[in-house]
Amino acid sequence: MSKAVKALGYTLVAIGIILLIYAFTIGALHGHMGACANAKCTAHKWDASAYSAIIGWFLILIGPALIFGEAPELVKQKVREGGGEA
Amino acid sequence: MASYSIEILLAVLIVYGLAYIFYGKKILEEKVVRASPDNVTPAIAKYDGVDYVPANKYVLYGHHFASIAGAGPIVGPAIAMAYGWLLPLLWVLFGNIFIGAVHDYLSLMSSVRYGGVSVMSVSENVMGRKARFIFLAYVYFALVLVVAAFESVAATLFTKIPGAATLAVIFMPLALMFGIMVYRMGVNLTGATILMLILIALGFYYAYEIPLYLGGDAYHWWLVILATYAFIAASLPVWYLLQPRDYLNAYILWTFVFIAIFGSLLVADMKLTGPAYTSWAPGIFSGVNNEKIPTPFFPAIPLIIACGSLSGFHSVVASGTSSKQLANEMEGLLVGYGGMLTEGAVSSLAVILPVSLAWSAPELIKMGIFKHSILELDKVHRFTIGYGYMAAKAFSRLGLSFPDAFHVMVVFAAVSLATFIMTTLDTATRLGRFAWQEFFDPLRESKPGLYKAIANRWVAGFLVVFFGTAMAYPNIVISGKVKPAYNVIWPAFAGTNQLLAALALLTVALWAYKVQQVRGAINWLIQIPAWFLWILVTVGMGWWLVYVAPHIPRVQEIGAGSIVAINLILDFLLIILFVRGLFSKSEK
Repeated sequence: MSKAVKALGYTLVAIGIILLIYAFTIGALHGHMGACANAKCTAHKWDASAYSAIIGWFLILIGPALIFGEAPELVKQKVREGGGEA
Repeated sequence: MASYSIEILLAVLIVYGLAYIFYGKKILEEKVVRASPDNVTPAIAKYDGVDYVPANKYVLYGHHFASIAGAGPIVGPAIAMAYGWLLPLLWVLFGNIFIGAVHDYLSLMSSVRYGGVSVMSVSENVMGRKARFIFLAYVYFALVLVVAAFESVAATLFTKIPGAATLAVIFMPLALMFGIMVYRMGVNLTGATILMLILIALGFYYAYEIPLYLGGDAYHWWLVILATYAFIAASLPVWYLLQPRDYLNAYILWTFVFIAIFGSLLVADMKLTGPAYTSWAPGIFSGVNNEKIPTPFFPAIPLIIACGSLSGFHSVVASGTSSKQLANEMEGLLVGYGGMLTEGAVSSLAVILPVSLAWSAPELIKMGIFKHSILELDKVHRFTIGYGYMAAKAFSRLGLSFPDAFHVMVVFAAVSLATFIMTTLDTATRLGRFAWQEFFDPLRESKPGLYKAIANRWVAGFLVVFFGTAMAYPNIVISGKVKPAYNVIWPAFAGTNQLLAALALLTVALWAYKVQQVRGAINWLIQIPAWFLWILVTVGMGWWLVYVAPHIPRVQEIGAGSIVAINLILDFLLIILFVRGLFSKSEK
């Protein structure tokens, strides 16, 4: 995994964590993520917390894969040793 | 005669314990598969760091169990409670021990013996090349239906229960963190598990309080988000998300079972308020004008109870992702046979038993949840209310408030159901990718450039998600009401799935007969249930075409009906190849 890809991975993870922290904090303060579109909250609309939750979720999903690559050394090593189980 | 919850609990635990030891271990593992720790498994021999990765046996058991246990073991028995509790319970126990668990374990081990290939490719070895391609086409379309149905169900759940969406957003990053801790940082499995379970419990509390709302047409937004998620998750290496996520998911499922066992012990003196038997043919399926169609237990039961008893999707999981991660043949029984029995325990102890207790419970009638019986509720609510009732009764005996405990456990049941559906969604996408790639396998050496272009993992994964989402996206109208697409897709999925189970069991039965040279009573012990299932499901599908299809909306009649009819044709083609294979010369 090249340094540039790893750096991108770290960036995505950092942004993802910030977005999720923001979304969860707003959720805790307002009692929900996303906004109510009427007084009874029977309809809803997008707001920054809902966007942050979804985008942050995807960034956290992709970022670590770019950092760590596909084959963990721990698993490779165990396979080389013939132990199999990781 | 009154029945008590302890009777069902003891019956289930004793029957499963005896089956695991005497049928699973003594017969299937020792005499049919002849598993050996000296045999090198494909996870080691073909290790690639993406799909072929050896896993800890408990991690793999968690993956397999969570992948096969989607909505099926919960929704099916909840519908079948219309027969009373006895017939569904007997079908779950019989189906688990003699069909479902055998089917899952032999699919896993036959795949391991052929290098981790799918059960469709196993069929080539015992029935010939034509069987493989018919089987692959059949399974590919079945998996597209799975993706479509589960995307639609998950999007509906996230829209209706936004707390479930919150938990999904919390749960996936925790699973990633767990995988990185265990595989990358070498953190002790027990310590990492305890930490994650604490964080998941906190996450559940947060999700219970804080829903995630999407604006506009939330169902379609969720559909697009879930499709993107399924594509990404199914393309990532298994160690990264699939293994840790499913391992942690298994704890949620275990919590289900534990609360069910613990709850039934605490309320052991409570009588079941539901009847053991109601009718041989209650009106379960309904038509376009909501008319009830009499649904006889035979041949309809395999079309109602799927994963809790047996399911063809399991053979694709067992020979798809699980066989590529099995580190040692001796661990196969726990994963394949044990995974199916555990799923049966979910059906019997977390659905059939609680619903029987809550059937006409005075507290629920007083709360206005139903007027006379739990059958008035839809299938998902039968499960969540029944489960919540039994757990809350148990916790109230420990001093907790019944209404509070009831509310929390109902949400716990619903949120957990959504998590399991997500698991099945991305596993089905990955398996669809495998099936597509196997279909084009002959091009791998003859036309490597073309193979790389059309069968690389990104294209293969994208196509499964694309076809599935295209089917899940349009809403439908039934009796003037707009409903999500799974109402159309589900019957086709259920029928295809059960036929697949029959065909896969016949395939592995043939593998045991021809390749493993299993003869005598043990051969019949595998073959007779296989033939019984094939006849029952084929008759069941025919019954559905004749008696149910004409009563359902036009779009379902044409769409689901034609898929069922095509599947029946493929079914007969495969059975001809099976019979030929049975009478051809046995392989050494």
